[in-house]
Order: sequence, then structure tokens, then C-alpha cells
Amino acid sequence: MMGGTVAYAAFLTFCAMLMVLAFRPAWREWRAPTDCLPLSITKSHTTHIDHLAEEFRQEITSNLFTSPEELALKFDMVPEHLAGMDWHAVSKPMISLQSLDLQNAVKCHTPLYVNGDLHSIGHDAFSGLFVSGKIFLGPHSAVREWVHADDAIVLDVACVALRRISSLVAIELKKKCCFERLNAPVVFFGPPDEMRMPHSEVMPLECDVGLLPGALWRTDGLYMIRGDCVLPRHCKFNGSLIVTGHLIVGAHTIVDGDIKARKGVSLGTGVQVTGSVISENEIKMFHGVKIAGLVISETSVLIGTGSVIGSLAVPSTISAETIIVESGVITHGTVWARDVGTVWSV
Amino acid sequence: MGLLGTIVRVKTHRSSDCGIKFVSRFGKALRACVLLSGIFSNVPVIAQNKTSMMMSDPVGITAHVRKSDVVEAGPQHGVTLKLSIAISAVGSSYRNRSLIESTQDGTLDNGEPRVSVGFAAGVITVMTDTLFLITLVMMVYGVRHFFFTLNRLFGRQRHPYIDIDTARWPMITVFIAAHNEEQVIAGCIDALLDTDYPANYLKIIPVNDRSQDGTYRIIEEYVARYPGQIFPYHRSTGKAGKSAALKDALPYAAGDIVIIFDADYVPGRGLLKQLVAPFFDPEVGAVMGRVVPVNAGVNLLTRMLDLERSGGYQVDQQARMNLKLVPQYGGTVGGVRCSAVAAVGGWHDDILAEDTDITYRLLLNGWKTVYTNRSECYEEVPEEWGTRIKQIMRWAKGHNQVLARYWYQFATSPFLTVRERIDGLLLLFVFILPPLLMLGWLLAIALYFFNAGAMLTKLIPAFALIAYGTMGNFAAFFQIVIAVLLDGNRNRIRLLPFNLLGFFVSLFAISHSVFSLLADRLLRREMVWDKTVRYRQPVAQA
Repeated sequence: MMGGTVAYAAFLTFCAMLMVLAFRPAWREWRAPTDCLPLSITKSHTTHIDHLAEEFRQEITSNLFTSPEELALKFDMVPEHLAGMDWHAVSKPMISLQSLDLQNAVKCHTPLYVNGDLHSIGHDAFSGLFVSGKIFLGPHSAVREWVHADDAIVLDVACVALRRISSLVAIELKKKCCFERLNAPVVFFGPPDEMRMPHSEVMPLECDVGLLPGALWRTDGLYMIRGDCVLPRHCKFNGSLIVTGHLIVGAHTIVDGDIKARKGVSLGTGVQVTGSVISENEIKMFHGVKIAGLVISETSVLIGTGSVIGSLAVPSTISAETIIVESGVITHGTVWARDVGTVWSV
Repeated sequence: MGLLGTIVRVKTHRSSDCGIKFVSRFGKALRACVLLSGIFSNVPVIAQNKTSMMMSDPVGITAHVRKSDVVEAGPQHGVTLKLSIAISAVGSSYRNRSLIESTQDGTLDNGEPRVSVGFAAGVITVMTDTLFLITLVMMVYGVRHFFFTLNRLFGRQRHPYIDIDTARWPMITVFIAAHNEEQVIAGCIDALLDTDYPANYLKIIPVNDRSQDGTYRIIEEYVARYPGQIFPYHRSTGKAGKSAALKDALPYAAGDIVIIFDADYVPGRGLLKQLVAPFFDPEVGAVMGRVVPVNAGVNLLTRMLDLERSGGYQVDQQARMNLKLVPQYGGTVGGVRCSAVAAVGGWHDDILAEDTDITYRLLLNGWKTVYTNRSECYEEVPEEWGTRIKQIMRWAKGHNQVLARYWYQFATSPFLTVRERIDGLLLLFVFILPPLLMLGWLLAIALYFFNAGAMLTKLIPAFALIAYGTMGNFAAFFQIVIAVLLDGNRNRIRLLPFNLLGFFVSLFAISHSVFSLLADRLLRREMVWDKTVRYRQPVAQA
């Protein structure tokens, strides 16, 4: 009996000690705070793709007119004659005050600013590249962080562009290029396929989305269909549509509104959508599809040749984990592949 | 092994003269409880013959047990026998029930009376059943916390709309809910004027709800300074409260999307675009961003609230988003689609938690709510316990109003998946847990005294408490720890033990609000909306 009481008291004491011990660091942190600042939120944070490039541009412009000695502390200058330059030895960001025409493969591990155009022959590697003119990177070149050009950017065959590529004019990616995030008023994936651009000679039959079998009214012009849905070909549907299953849109059909299908969307040849196309699963577009709004998938997007996404007047965003684009596609705005995007050509 | 083996044997025994027969419909649950606890007991034998024996515990509950069910006998003719009979505070009621059922003539073989169970046993039955169910509910919520935390650590993270940065941005209206906000409203308006959202698609409406301080003057100064950008809505009469004020201001909104900030919020440049982006999905009815305490380091309370907020947003909300459950729209740093709200019955101003009300009405009508963890915005948290208690009581009351109104509709809505339905109901009942937990504690303590003599019944309350501690509260703390680590912080985790204090305060505050809500219903009292105190000094004075 006595032993049991002692054991019980010891157990209680042990438990109390464990509890008090936990409060010791708590007490110290309370009385002498070492970590009490609010979680940092950058007020100027935006999702603009050229954010890093703009920061670099500001850094360059704010230092460009300082004394040569001060400039030399922060930057290395690219010599007029590139022959014999050891790019591997560079440790500071580089500035070139004139256009660069690289005759040998260059591997530059620091950001490079070029006041003019940049042309390379291929097999180059850059970490960051800011060019005030045009950029042409030869085949099998690679960019690890970001590229920005105030004029057009052309990446030749099999280039790899990780992270961000932005241009104020246009980007062209040749076949077998890989990318993550692109932004420009117009982005060409290979040469445009004029033959398969969206067009239809058949006058579409006018239909209302609300008249589809099983359509449930959500709000004005927005309907929901539970389960899978097939929109027939050569029709024009007015209104937006939510489908809880898979949605197939027949060839040359026009949807005047947004479409969302949880389990996937397949758009037939020549389909036109005036709004956005959104899915939690795969979005597949056959050739000649035209979408005015956004294309958002949580898995993958496949875009057939001759398709056009967005327009110069209304840029769009294509976002998915994986984006496979056939050569001959034109997009406007942002293309963002979270895992990888590639230009595919048969 | 012997213990478990005997338990099984006893449980599965079905002979008519056996003293123990588990015939309850809760047999499976009881079995789980027994296996969990693995209880031994020393039960005095009060009579025996060749094949069976009579035993009794101190409250007079008597069992007639076959000797074959005895695991380990003491001295041949000793007084006690060690049994592994699966009897606990929960099980004792079934023991009584089964004894009554199995009694044929009310006597043992030697003619002694078998069972003397009266009203007290019935009460104990109800108590044990209730305690068992409460323990089960707590464990479900605890498992839910763990599941969310593990998902946040190892699961696939969903941010489907975060990449939208070029689009035809729709016309939107930003409401700034303001009631006596002279200290903070300038900061909010300045931040909104600095946003990267296209100015010609943005209408800013400060909703000045019956302010008595300098809020009106400050707003008018901004209107004069930025003509055509700010459209104030001054309200001097009408029903009190944020939801009523916003409802009155809603007709002045332009466009289909309304974003709402409280006046103490300071949105970053890109926040509006991030909050509007999910509305490109036609299925989305409401969007919620993340709030971050700006005055986290002021005192112990704010630091504890900072930890709680981390857990709630960084883990809980994001896990719900990841798992396609029901992220909750929080009424600020978020937005709604006006046409969707109108389609589900419009804005209600007779409820203290209009955000929860809208969340549930949207969900049960087939709309989606979205949480965007990277859309962060600073807010002020209460710096005084009194303010905190009032705030949490208001939340609890409002939430429970929603529970009373929509739980059945939500449970039967045809638009929801099974997982949405389960998570939504768990979320809906979350402010019922504190009074339930307190009831569980009371039951556990009461049962302890009813069964003071038996070792097994001593342990059951302990097990109940352990279950609450490890699977309930601890799970929430685990969630906080992981959230803080995901935020990149370290040393503030040391404050975690103090959150026990916050837990107890919330426990009593919420329980009080539950009873207050019931009293409001019974006495037909009108709801009172308590505004949370602001602490920030005006910029000029700072």
C-alpha cells in the first residue's frame, strides 16, 4: 500500500516535472524575446514576370553614371574585343555597353547586361540576361534564372530556358525548346501554321447552354451539368458552363463564355471559346483551337498546332504543371509551366 | 497475448448461464475501447461454486462469471482473482445490462441473489455512453488535425490560380469596412491606391459605418485628393454591425467581384490581382487570402495569437485547399462573386458571422470557395484578453448560428462530395467542441468517483484525458509547430506551452457563448456586434 502511494507520488512528480520543463524555454522566450517580428510580407511583392530583370536594370542604371572606380567595385565590363576573354573567371555582374555577337560558346555564371543586341552561335549558358535590344540564342543554349529583352527574343532549336523569359515585343521558341515561364505580347512556338489556323466554313447552329440536358441554372448565363458532357460539333453555345465530369467540345463549335470541367476538357479541331477554359485535370486542344481567355489546368495542357490563345489586345495566361505545345502555336501573354513546358514537333 | 486472448473469449461467450455477455449494439466500439486500454482489475469474489463465481465492485455492480473466463487465479480459495474482463467505466454499463439479460431466476447456484442494479446504474450507463462518444468525437477532430498537418508536409500543394498574371482583369469593387477607424483607415486606403490592379477597373468604397471619430474626415480628405478613385459610403443610421453595413453598401458596387478588407488591413501591391484571379474560374464563389498579425510581438497574447493564426492558415486552410475540402471564406482579405451570393439568397445581416454564413450557403449550393495562401495581408490582433475573449465569443456565436441554420441542408446537399460534406460538417461543429469537452471532463471526474475502488475504472478517466490531450489538443499544437516552421520561423515555437492558457480561455469563452446563444434564442434577445479594438497609432502621431 505504502509502496503504491510512493510510486503514485513519484509518477505525479515526474509528470509535473515534464510539464514544468516544457515551460522553461517558453518562459525565457516570453521574458527575453528572440523571435517576435511579424511574418515578413513584401509590400511591393507582385507576380510580374520581369520582376528580377527590372531589379537588375535599376541596379545597373543607378550605378552606370557613378565614377569608373565605383562601377568597377560592383560590375565587370565586357571588353570591346571578346577574343580571349575568360568568362569563367568572371565573379561580378557584367555590363556590355554595346551589342554582343558571340563567336564562341559562352558560359557566364553572373548576370549580364547588354546595351544593344545579343547574338550567340549556340551551346551557351547564362544565369541572367538583360538586353535592351534583341536576343538570339543559338541551338542548345541554356538560361538558368531569367532573360529579359526590350525587343524580341529568339531561342533556337533545343534551348533550355529555366525560370523566366520576358520580352516587351515577342518571344519565339523553336522546336524541342524547354521552358518554364514566358511572357510577351506574342509568343511563337515554332513557325506559325497558317494552314491550321482557326477557321470554319460551316455556319454554326445557335444553341443556349441552358437548354442542354441536365443543365442547372447557377446565375445569369452560367449553367452546371453534373457528370460528363459532350457539346456537338458546328454549334454556337451562348453562356458559360460548369461540368463536374469530363467535357468534350465537338469540332468547330463556338462557346461564347467560360468553361470549367473538373475531370478534364477536350476541345476538338477549330473550337473557339470566348472566355476561359479551366480544369482540375488535363486540357487537350486539337489543332486550330482559339481561346480568348485563360487556360488553367492543375495537371497538363496539350495545345495542337495552329491554335491561338489570347490576343494582342487581351493577353492571356496558360498555366499548368506540364505544358506541351505543338510547333505552330501562337499565344499572347503568359505561359507558365510549373514543372516543364516543351515545344513538340513531329 | 493472454490478456487479449481472454478478452476475446469473454466477449464472444454466448452461453445462457454465463454472467457476461456482450450483447450491446455498441459491442464493436466497446471492443475498441477495451483493446485501447487493456485494463486489468482486481475484483473481489463474493461467492463461488465449481463452475462459476460471483464478484462485485464497490458500487454494487455484481457479475456472475464462469471460471473458464478467469485468466489467472490467485490462491485456490483466495479472496481476489485477477481478471482480464473487459470492464471499464464504459463497459460496466453493458456488464449490468448483460447480467440482467442473462439472469434466469435471480439467484446463483447456491441460492444467493445475483444482481442489485437500480437507477444509479442507468445513470452510469448514460454517462459512460456519453463519455465514450465525446472521446470518439475528440479523437476524430484530433486525427483531422494530424491529417491536415501531414498533408501540408508531404501532400501535393494546390495553388491553381497563383500563376495568373496577365488577363483581362474584371471590374471590381473594394469595400473597406470601417467603424471608428481613424487610427488605421488611411494606411488601408494608401495601400489600395498603390496596388498594381488596373485603376480604371477598380472602385474603392470605404464603408463608414456610424463612426464617431475622425474616420469621416479622413475619408473625405482622400476623396478630395484622389477624385474619381474613391467613392465613400457614409452610414449614420441603420442596423449595427459589419454585415449590415456591407449589405447596405452592396448596391453601390461596380462589377461582379467584391473584395473586402477591414480598415486595419494593409494590402500589398499585388494582392488584389491574387485575390481576383480565382474568380476566372466560373465555379468559384468566394476567395480567401491569409491574414498575418502585424502586432505579433507586442505581448504574450499577440504572440500566442500569431502562432494560432499560423496554424489556422498555413496548415489548416491550405490543407483543405489541397484536399479539395472546404476552405473557409473569412470575411476580410477575400472576396465574393456578387451574382453567386445573390443566387444563394443574398447578404444576410442578421448573423454575427456573415462570412461563415456565405461560405456555407455557397458550398451547399454547389459553389466553390478558394484559399490562396500566398495572398498575405497584415491585420491587428487583440492585445488585451478582454478584447480577445469578446472576439472569440462573437466568432463562436456567429458560427453556431450558421450551424443551427444550415447543418441539415449541408448534410443533404446534392452538390457536395463525401469528403466536402464530412469536412464541412466537422468545421461547422467546431465551436460546439469546447462545451462538449468540458462535459467530457465532468463525466470523467464523476465516473472516477462512482468507481473509486476499481483500478480499471480509475484508469478510464485518465485514458479519456490522455485521449483529449494527445489526440485533440496536441494535434492542434503539432499543427501550429509545423505552420511556424513552414513560415521559416524557429524560436517562437518555444512559446507553445503557453497556448494551453489560450486554449483554456477559449474553452470557457466559447462555452459561455454557446449558452449565451441559447439564452438569446429563448429570451429573443437581439444580437450585439462587438467591434474589435484597434491599437495602431495614426501615421501623423506615430
